[in-house]
Amino acid sequence: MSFITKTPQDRRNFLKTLSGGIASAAAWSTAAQLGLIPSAAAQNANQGSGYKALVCVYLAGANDAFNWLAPRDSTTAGSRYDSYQRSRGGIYGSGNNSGLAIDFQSLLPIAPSNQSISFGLHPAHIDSSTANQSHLGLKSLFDQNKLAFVCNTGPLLEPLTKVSYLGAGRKPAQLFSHNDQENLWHLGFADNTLPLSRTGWGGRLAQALAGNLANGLSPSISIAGQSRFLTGSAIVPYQLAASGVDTLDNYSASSTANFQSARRSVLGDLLASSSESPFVREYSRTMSRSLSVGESLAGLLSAADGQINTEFSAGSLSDQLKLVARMIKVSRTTLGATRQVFYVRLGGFDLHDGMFVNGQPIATTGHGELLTQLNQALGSFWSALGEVNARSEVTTFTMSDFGRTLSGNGNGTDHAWGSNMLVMGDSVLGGKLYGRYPQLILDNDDASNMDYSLSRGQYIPTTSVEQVAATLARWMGVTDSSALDAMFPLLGNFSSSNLGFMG
Amino acid sequence: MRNKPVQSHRSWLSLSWLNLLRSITIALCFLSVPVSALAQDTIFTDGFELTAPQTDAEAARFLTQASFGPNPAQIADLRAQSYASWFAAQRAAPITLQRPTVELEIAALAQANPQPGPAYRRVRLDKWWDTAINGPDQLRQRMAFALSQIMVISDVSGTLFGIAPMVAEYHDILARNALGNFRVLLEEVSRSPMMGIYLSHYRNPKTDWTIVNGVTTPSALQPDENYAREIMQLFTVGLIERNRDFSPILSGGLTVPTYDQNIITSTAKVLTGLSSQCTGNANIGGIVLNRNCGCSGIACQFSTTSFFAVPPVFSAGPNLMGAVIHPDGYAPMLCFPRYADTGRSATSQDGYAILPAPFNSKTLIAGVPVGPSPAACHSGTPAADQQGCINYCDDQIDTLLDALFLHPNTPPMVARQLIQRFTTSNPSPAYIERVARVFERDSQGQRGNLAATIEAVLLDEQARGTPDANFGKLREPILKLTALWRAFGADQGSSGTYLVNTPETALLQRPLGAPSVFNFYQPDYIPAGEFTTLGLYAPELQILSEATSVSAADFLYTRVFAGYNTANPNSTSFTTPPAAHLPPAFIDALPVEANLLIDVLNTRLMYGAMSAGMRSRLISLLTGPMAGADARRKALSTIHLILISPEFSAQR
Repeated sequence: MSFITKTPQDRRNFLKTLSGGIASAAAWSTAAQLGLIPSAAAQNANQGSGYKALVCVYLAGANDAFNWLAPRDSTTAGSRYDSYQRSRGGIYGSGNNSGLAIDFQSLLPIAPSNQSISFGLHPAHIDSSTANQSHLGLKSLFDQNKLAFVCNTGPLLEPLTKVSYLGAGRKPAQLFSHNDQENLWHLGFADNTLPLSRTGWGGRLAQALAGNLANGLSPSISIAGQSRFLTGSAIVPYQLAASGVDTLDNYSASSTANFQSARRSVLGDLLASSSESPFVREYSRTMSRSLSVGESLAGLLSAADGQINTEFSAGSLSDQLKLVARMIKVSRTTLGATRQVFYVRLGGFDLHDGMFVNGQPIATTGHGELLTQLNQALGSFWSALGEVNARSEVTTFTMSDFGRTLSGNGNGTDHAWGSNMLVMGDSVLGGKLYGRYPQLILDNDDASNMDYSLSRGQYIPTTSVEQVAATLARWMGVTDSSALDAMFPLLGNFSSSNLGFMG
Repeated sequence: MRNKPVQSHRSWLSLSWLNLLRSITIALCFLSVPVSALAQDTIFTDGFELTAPQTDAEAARFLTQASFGPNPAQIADLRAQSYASWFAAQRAAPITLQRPTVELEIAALAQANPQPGPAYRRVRLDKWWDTAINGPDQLRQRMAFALSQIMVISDVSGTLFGIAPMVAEYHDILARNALGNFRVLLEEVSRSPMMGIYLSHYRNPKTDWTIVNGVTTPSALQPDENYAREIMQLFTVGLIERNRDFSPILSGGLTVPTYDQNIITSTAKVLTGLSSQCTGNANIGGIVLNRNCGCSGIACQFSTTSFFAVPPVFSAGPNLMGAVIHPDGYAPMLCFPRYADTGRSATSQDGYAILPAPFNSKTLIAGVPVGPSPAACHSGTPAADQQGCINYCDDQIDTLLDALFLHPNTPPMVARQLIQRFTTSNPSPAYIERVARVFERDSQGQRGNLAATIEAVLLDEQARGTPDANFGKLREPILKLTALWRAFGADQGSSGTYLVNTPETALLQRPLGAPSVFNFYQPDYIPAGEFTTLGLYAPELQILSEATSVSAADFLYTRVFAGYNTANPNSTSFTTPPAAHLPPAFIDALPVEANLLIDVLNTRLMYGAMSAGMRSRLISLLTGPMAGADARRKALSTIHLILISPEFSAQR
C-alpha cells in the first residue's frame, strides 16, 4: 500500500493507524513512534523553513586522515612535506615497505585559498565514471570550492596543551578506544556521564528543528543500523536497509491467498498486546513501525518521486547514499519535510595492517581502496544532489573514531586522536582548510603553533567536535546561543561556536 | 602442573613478580580439570535450592538458555536426571570439532573442482549449523558460540574471509576450552594465527634500536598496538577498575582507568615476534602443501626467512585466498626472538647492548614489570643462547597473560558477559558477584574454571527463578533459527548441505562473522527511548531495526516453509528443496487439534510461557479463517507466527 497524504484528514487517519499499532505501549514510545515534537523544541519550529539536511558519513575504524590530506609544498629538507614523510617513516615503495608517506608526485595537489602552502589529497580522489555518467572526485570538488576540510579535530573537554595533557588538564575518558571515542563523536561532546549523553547531536538537532513531522517519519534516518548520533531524547532514528524498504512478505493485509490477511491480522494483534518485558515491548514497537511507516515509505520510494537517474558506483556506501538521495527527494516533494539528518557508514578503516598492497597502485588498494569507495560514493552523491536540486540544501560531512599514529607498525598504524574531516555542499565555504593543520612532527610541543603531539605522532586536537557540530547546527537553524549551549553543554569551554565554514 | 596458588581478591597485587616469573616457566599441564570433583548435587545460594526441573516447560526454559534450543529428546533426557548430572554429562561429552572435517571436505571438493577459498566458506558454515543442531555437546558448543562473541575473530571480510579451515580451527580452540580453563583459553586464542591476523600481532616486529656514540635511536617502526589494546579492553580487564559485582571503583567520585597509553605501548612490545611455526611439507586429504623450512628445530625461530614465510595455501586464485591451508597456518604461533622486544639494541656494533632506561623494560597492567633479556637475541644468536632467548620471549607473554588472568577485573568482566550471552542482559550486581566468585575459585580452589562458571550462570537463583519484568534478553537471531531447527529437526537439502550460507544479510548475525572485534552488538548498548529511561542494557537490540525485524521475519518464513508448496490453500505438498528444511515426518507428527497443537508448540518453542491472549488469538486463527487448511499448513503457519511474535522475541 502506498500512502501519500493530501489532506489533514488523511494525515490524522495515518497517525491514527500508527498509534493503533502501539496503543498499549508506554507514553514515551508513542512520542517516539510519531516523532512528536516536544513543546520546547516546537517553539523553534519557525527556524525550520525551507529544507535543509545533514548527511553524516561515518568512516568506521579511524581513517588515516594525515594520508588523506597531506602537506605538499616541496620535497626539500625542512619543508612541511619533508616533515610529513619523516614522521611517517619515509615514503612507501622503492624498498621502503614500512614507510607510510605517499610520494610527492602521487598526491593530488590542491591549493587551499586560506593557506600559505599547497596540500595534496590521497590519489584516490580523482574524477570517476559509471556506465553512462561521470562524477567529480574530491579534488575537483575542492578546487570548485564545494569542499572544505576541518583539521585536527577530536573530542576535548577543554583546550589542551602538551603540558596540560601530561599534567592536570581534563582529558576525555578512554582516549584511543574505538567504541568509546566513536561514542563521543556521536554525542558531540566529550563527557559521557551527562544525562544528555544518551543522545547524539544529530538526533538533538533533528528533534529541535523538525517543525514538520513529515507524516510520522522520524526526522533522523539511518541507512547504517543503530546510531547514537541520530538519537534524541524524544526521537529514535528510522532505520532503512541500503537496499530500500524491506516489507514483510507473505503477510499482506489485502491478500486472502494463503490466509495472508488473516495471519496479518493476528500478527497485528500480537504486536499490539501488552507485555511486562521491555524487550518484548521494544520488539513490538520496532516491528510495528516497520509495518506501518515502512510500507508507506516503500510505496513512496517505488513511485516516480522516489526514483533518481544518477548512476552510483558499486559498493555499500554508494548504495546507502543513493537511498539518501531518494529519501531527500521524496521527503521534500511528498512528505513536506523541512529538516532531516541522515547517517551512513563505511567500515574497514582500522588499518593496523594493509595500508598499502605491495606492487599494487596506492590509489586503489589498501587505504586507497576505501578512499576510492568514499570518493566515488561522494562523487555520485554530488551528481544526485544536482539532479534533485539540493546541493545548497544538503551538507555532507565525515566523522571517524580518531586519527592514527603518524609512525607506523609495519604496513599500518595505531590509534591516535586528532583527525581531519571533510564538509561538502554548495553552502560550504569550500576550497579552504579550517582549524589548524598540524606540523606533523612526532612528540612535538610547540606552543607558538599550538602544535602538540605524543611520541608516535598522536596529535592533541586543536578543534573540538562540538565546534564543528555547532557550526553545522547554526546552518541548520539553531542560531540562539543559549539553544546551542543546551545542545552542546561544553561549548563554552572553547573559543568559538562558529568555525566559519558554512555560508 | 601449572597450579597457581589461589589468590584472594586483590592480594595478588602484592605478589613478588620475580617469583611469578619463575613459576610461569613451568610447563602448561592443567588441560585436564578434575571433572568429577566439580559435580554438585545441590545448589544452595542464599537459601535458594534446586536440583532438577519439575516440568517439561522448566526443562525447556533451561535448555533455551543452555543449548541451541530444546527438542523433545533433550527435554526428556534432562527430566530424567538432575541439573548436576546433566552438567557432568555435558562436560564428559565428546567434543565436536569442525576443522578436521571442514578441511578434508574442502580438499575433496577442491581436487574435483579447484576454486579460490571463498567458494568453500559455506563448508565451514554448514559444519557449524550441523554442530549446533545435532552436536551432543550442546553446552560446550553454546559456550563456544558465546566465547566467539567475546574473543572475536571474523570471516566476514579480510584475510580470514576465504580460509575456512583457519576459522573452523578457531572455533575448535573455543570449543576445546569452553568448559576448560580461562587461562589456557586466553593463551590459545592469543597464540592463534587467526587472532594474530585478525588483530594484527601476527608477524609483529619490534622497534630496532641502535646505540651510536651513546645516542639511542629507534627505527621508525613501532609495535602494532591492536591486540595489546583489545585483549585488555574486550577479552579480560576492561577499561576501568571494577568491584567483584562489576560496579566501578571510584576515586574522588571518578572511575579509575585500568591502563593508560604507556601500558598499551609496553603490552604491544610484549606481543612482538610471533609468527608461524615451520614443520615441513603437509598433506591435507591428498593435497600436498610444500613448505620448505630450510631449518630445523629451534634454529627456525632464529631464521629471518622463516619469520616472514607465510604457510602455503592450496588455491586456484591469487593471494592468500586458500581452500585448504598448511597446518602451520593455524597451529599456535611461535616466538622469533630476533623480532621480539628484548629491551636490547638490534645492532652488532654495540654488541646488542641492553638499552638505557626506560627503553630496556616494559611495565604491564597493574605495574607488572618485564626486564630486558639476559641474552642477546638476534638472527645470529649462538646455539647456546637460543633456548634462553625463546624462554625470555615465551615468559614475557606468559607474564602478560597471567597479569590479565589474575587481575581482579577479569572475573566480573567474564561473568557479566557470559550472563548476558546466556540468561539476561541486566544481571543484578549480586548475580555477577556470585558468578565472579566461582570464576575466582571453584570447588577445588582453581581460578578460571569455565565449566564451573557457566554452571553458576545457569543455576543461579536469578536464572532459575521466576523472572521479574526486566529479566531476560532479546533472542539472538541465529539462536531463533537454531531453536526452530532443533525443535522440529532440520534435514539437509537435496544439495547435501544446509545451504544457508549468508545468514548475516537478513539476520545481521553470522557465526564467527561479526562486522568487527566489537561483535554484532556491544555489552553496554542501551537503546534510545524506553531502555534509556529505564537504564537497561540490551545488546541484541543493537541489530534489531525496522529493516531487520522484517528481513529476519522473511528469512524465517523461507526456512519454515522450505520445500512446502502453499499454492493450494487446503493442501500442502512437500518436495525436498536444495536447502535445509523441517522434515514432513516431524510436522505431520504434531497434534492436529488446535489446543493440543498450541500446547506442543508452546512447550517446544516458548517453554510454556505463552500468554493466554496469544494462545487464544492463535487458536482463533486455526479454528476460524484457517479452519479449512490442512494440518501441515496450520502447523507451519503457527510456527512462523510464533517465531516472529513479540513474546518469542525475548528469552526470559
